[in-house]
Amino acid sequence: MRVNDALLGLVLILGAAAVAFQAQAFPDLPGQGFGPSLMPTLIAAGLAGCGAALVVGGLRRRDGPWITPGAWTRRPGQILDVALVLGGMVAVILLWQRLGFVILATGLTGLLISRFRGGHVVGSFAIAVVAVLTIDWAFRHLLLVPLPQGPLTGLYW
Amino acid sequence: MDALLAGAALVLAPDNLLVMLLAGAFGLFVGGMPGLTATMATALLVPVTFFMPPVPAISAIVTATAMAIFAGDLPGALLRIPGTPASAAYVEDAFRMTQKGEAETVLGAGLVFSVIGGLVGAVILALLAPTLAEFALGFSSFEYFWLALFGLSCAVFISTGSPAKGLVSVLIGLLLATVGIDTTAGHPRFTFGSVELLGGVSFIPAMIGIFAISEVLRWVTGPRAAAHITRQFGNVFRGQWALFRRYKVNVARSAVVGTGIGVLPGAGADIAAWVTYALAKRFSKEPEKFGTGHVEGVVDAGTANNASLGGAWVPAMVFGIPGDSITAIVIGVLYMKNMNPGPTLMLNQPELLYAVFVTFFVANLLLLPLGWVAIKLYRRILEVPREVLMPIILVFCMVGAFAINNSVFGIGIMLVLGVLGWFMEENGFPVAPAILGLVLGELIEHNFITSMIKADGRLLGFFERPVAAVLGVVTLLVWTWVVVGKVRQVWQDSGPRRSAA
Amino acid sequence: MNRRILMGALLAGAVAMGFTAAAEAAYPERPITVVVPWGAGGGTDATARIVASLMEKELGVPVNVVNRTGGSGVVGHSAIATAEPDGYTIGMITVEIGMMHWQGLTDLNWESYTPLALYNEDPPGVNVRADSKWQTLAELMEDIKAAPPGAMKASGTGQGGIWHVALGGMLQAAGLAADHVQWVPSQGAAPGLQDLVAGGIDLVTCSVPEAKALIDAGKVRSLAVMSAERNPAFPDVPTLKEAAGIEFTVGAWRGLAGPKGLPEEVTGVLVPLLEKIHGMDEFKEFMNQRGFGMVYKPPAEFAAFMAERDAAFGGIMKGLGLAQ
Repeated sequence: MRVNDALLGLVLILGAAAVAFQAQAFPDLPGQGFGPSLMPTLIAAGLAGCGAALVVGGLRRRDGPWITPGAWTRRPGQILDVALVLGGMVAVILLWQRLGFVILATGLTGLLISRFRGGHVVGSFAIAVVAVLTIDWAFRHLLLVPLPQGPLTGLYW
Repeated sequence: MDALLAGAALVLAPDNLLVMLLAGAFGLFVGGMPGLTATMATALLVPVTFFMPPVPAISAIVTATAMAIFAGDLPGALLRIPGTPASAAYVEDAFRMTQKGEAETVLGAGLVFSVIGGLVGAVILALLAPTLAEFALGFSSFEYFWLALFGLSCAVFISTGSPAKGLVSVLIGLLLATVGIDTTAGHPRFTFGSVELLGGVSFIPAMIGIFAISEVLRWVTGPRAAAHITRQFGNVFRGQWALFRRYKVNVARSAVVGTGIGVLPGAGADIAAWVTYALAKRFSKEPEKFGTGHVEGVVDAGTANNASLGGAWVPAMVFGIPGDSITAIVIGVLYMKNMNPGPTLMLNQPELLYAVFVTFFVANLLLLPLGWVAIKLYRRILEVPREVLMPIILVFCMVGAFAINNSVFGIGIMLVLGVLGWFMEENGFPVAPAILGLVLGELIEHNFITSMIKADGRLLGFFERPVAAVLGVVTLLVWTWVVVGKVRQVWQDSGPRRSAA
Repeated sequence: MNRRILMGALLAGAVAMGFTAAAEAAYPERPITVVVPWGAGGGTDATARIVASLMEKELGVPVNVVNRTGGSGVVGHSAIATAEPDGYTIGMITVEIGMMHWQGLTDLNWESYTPLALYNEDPPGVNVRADSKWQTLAELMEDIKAAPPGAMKASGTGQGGIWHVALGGMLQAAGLAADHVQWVPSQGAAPGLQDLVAGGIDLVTCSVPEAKALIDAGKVRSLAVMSAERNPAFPDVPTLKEAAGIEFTVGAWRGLAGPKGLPEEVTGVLVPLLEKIHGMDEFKEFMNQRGFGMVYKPPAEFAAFMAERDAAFGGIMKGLGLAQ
């Protein structure tokens, strides 16, 4: 998805203004005339400057529509793929503690693999189970990362 | 000299070599996992080192970290997921080379020049350790500020395309670095009331998101041509000698710069890689090739990140001041062995410090065969069809992002920055400068604010100490030169177009 | 025959013991997590790991240390306080729990936890560069009093960190404003000490083990220690009271605690266990090697200690302009 430079510049200027506005609320260091607001203010000034440059450049060229959607947005199948990848990750984040790593990761990888291969559901889930259990074992036992087990707690090693 | 020989004898004992072999395999494994750093490899080794005498304990840590830094190149080159932050600087070049079918060349270069960098670093340290430690101790916040600002100028060299967009990318990185409790005043910034955001935007999930998740998204949204690499995977060592001859100046420069950066407390392998990558591009005969799958930057940064590893041990062992997060853990281990770091250690057990350098030397020699095996095993990834690989990469990324703080919030950061990175690349914003901004943001701000406090707000205070004055003038000159060059470039770019319009 | 009876009896006994053990040992039946609000390799992490390994040995279930860092300790402390109070997530709480709520970073305070055991406290020393003109604390305090506010610079931790508060408390006890010496924030004691040696600041307040290597190196001189008694490792360094007649003691402490409302069956297991661990030779040896000060307070005393420190810190932090 390509966005015209002028529009991007405008967004940057607005974002910079928001950052600068929030930063002014930060207190100064005791006994000093500056503090935590200094760096964000400088960054905001830089972003606004770059934004202005992009606006000028974008307007001068004016070589395309404001927003050019990527080719994938015209293929419903691919829109669904993107939604599955992003939505799947959001679901994993939300359910992480409740369902645990193995259930979520197997579900997500199994779903995505079978979707990308255009079928082969059983085989895809078989791959997913093996891969996820291997990862789970390596990270929890060799690397001592406390991946949550969810309802399966105590059921597998 | 006696101490050096005594140290060598300790290291070359058979049981110690066995420990190094095992630790090396472990380091390769950890470094090859996205999200798991050399620091984490060290932390995981600590409980094991409880049961070892001092030299094997140190050998295990040294070997594991040296291997982990190299192993970070593997997923970087093959999957565009830097295994450790030290591989982030050149991940773009390495990955593009793999796409061009030159995987064995880039992995071989990563291996060979890691080894060379590590060996040179070890020799420099063995010769100059006490002097370097004394020098490093003389750095106050003024010097660090100039150094960090100098590092930031690297962003200009590494960014490709429009200068304004490169600058936006740096600024986004710097802005992300300000999130969380500010290091000077302890005031929460841009946290929106979230306890997790008080901790800031963790670097590892951010890096995984910007590089790996955006790559997955690009594949999902792309045409998905079945670009299956079926051709035979060649000998990784072929052509390395020619590379060495062509880039011998680069190798020498990067080994020295890498070791120097490593000695400074607070600056480690990742900063060494960025700086030497930028230097390589600046002095290259073909800078336009950087970022498109060119091996030169890989040679430089690959040499430097391994060279820097040993440097951090010098201030740690001589003055008890950790040079990086790895040696911070090492100091703890040394105390545990009743060997309190400091000059008394140098006086009473100098062989121990030399044992560290000998270990670095041996570990890097050991890296050659072990790394070769690791490449052989790892390259099988290329044989897995993308339809299967991509979802599994996704899972790896999530686990890696979780592992750094054991918090699901890391996965959230990874996802948000993955989408941001994908959007930025779609619109011609280089992403590498954003990572550099994130790395250097805190260093710059912290040292600037504390220097201002010390100088009571007088900017002249930044030039009053001799080393600071020299660094300051050099940095300002570099920046002036950069800005003038860019302005001229913009002027030339816009000139013809204006006449055309 | 006899042998068979014996075997049978043994077997029956073993089975019975197994059953009763299973029935009684409701806690702990699965791995315990110890949350550490600070990074791997630091002092809090190291002590947590040794305690966890001894707990594991005694309890027979895995005891995992999990580092939840960031936000000056707020992230980890809130992870402990908001965990399920089932005894399977406990954590290391540190001196910062009595400080960060004054700064308005969090609503958590010592009352958000079930205290289990306090096992360590380290008092800070007052350190200057070895080639500076101050040989005693009295000389240093005279110069501080003579200097205009903010002219002298000190460091040792971040703004509002424990050593900053320690310095403020010392100055207040000496009759000065708490912020009479300008604090230069640093990311921990080591960078602060490095800046001291590099000549960037005048003094550093930090714990004795943190400064030990540089004191031994002859780069740093310790003028006094902010405790009631001298440190056995540095018998020549006087206390604040001995050196300049200042009545003030403070220290960074570490203790184990669980979320509020831990049930009796959990505390009944953990409290005696932690007291036992504190007495073990392995633990003593470890603490002495690292130079960590050993103290022990059971839950009730630990709570009273935190309440008292909390109130004292509030006063100092208001004087430093840190409390909101």
